[in-house]
Amino acid sequence: MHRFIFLIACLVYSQSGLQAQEQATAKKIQVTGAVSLMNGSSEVGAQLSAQAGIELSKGWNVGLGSAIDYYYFRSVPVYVEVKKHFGNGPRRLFAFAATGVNLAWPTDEDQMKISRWNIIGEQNFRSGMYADIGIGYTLYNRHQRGLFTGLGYSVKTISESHIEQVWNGLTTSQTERKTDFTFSRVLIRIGYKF
Amino acid sequence: MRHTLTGSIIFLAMSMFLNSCFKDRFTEHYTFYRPVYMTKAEVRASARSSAPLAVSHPGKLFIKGNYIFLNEVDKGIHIIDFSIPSSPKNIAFIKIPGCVDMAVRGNFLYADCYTDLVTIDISDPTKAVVKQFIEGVFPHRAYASGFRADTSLIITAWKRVDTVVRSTVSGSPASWGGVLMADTRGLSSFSAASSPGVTNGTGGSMARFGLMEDRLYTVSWNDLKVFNTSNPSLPSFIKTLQFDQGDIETIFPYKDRLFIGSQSGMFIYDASNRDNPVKLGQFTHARACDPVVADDTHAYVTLRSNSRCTGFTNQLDVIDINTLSKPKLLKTYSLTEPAGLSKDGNLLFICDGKDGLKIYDATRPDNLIRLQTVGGMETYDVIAFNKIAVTVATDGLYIIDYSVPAQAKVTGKITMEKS
Repeated sequence: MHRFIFLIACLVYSQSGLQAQEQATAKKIQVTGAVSLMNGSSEVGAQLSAQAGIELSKGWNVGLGSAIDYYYFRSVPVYVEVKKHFGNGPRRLFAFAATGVNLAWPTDEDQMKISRWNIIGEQNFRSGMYADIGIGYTLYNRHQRGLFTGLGYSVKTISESHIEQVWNGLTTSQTERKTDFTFSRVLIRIGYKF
Repeated sequence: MRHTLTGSIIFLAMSMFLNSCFKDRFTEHYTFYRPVYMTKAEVRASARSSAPLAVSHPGKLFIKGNYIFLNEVDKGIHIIDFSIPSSPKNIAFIKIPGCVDMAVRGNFLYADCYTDLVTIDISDPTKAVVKQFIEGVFPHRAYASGFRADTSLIITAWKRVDTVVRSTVSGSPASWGGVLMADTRGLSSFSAASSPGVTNGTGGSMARFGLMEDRLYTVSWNDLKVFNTSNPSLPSFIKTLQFDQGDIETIFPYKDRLFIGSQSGMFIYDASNRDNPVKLGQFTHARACDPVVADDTHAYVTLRSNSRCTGFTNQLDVIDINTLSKPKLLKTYSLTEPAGLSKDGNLLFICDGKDGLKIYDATRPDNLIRLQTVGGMETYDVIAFNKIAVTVATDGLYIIDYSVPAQAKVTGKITMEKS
């Protein structure tokens, strides 16, 4: 019985120690959410993003982010982002850069954008890459939480392929048509750091 | 003020410089086929017999005497000697660019050369000689499913082009790409004997050419043309009859009637006045490809649906034509993917796609009895006469002996060479 109580006490003590460590670690994990307006030559689209990052020393942040990007073809960028804040205090400039993959997630309407009467079977969308770069400004409160804005340049790529019928002079034959898209946009971002 | 002006100039310069960085772009990889043209003079000079070529893309079929004339789609006509049915021999090839149809009257072959009608002397099939070109007979051949040929030239080949296109995205990318064209295989129409000393050959059910005595009838997408072939070496154009609708596909002359198949029905014309066929009656059916053969009392129409033919029907319709002005459906028989057909007496031959050639006792059209199926081939068209059924299939030309119909079997073959 005593041993049992002793074991339980050890378990409780070790758990509280871990929690203390986690609390110490958790202070450095920063979560942000943002909405961006993507302006390109084809259209104006939106991007909803969320990131979780760690604050390093001297104003550097690194984090992992994901988004739903509605520009032309819906996709899900998953990226690593680096930020550098300039100066001190709750209001300061920062520069950001991100790169990662752009996972294809087309809607039915997206598929109609490449609709052709001679398509056979399914259209296949393949993931590409994602990158953005820009500058921003924080509008934090004294607890280092609050709004921030950003202005930058964003690129995403995606590919589409399908089988189509073409006339070969005697009959129809089936060939593959593949299209690689590169979308270049100006992004205007507003977000909140929790 | 100066700083504002400087800042504005810098901003404008950057905007112009960066404008190109904000263009959405695409790179498209696709394949198309480009026509290779020859002038009409070059084509006419090349239309003559040559050494036999391997059968690669068999099309329509015509028989005259001991010779089978087998179309090589868009390239010309193979001449096959089948005087020994068990051993047919490919003896010569006549180059005719754009050829998909033909008929033979006496010693003269009539064929389409893309948009033109060519007459060729085949007194010696191995030494054919072009006698005449009539231009513009088949205008529908200049335009097919989105492709319009240069009508001053003739297409002699198609070249594959793998291409890469780079451009900017604006709304939706690239071109529609690709064209579709009707499948032009089939058999030439049946023809009766004509003026003394000059006989017409025997064709099948899927032709656009039909011979009736000394008249050649050709059907295009929506018209019927009449040619006088009393001088077989120099057919002369008589007139054009316009149909009320398009999608006309086949013509089958029988005695003094013309049975014309379209994708939506069968038309019966009285051609007792050879130069002025008059419409007698019409049988409408569901949308499908429909070659037709007929005898004195009934017409037999196969309805086929596939990627080209559209529709959802694969069947044989037997039509009572005792009253030509009011043809009526007698009975429908379900089939797999029927195409060409032929009739010899009370025997009905149907090419039923991958099922092969089916032979029926048609003594009672309302109760066809299948006697035999010759399988192992994907059949397309057939001419049956004098105990021999010459059948075009996807892998070659078959000679089938039906001396005993219930035991009909393949006795000879010319195999297609895959290209």
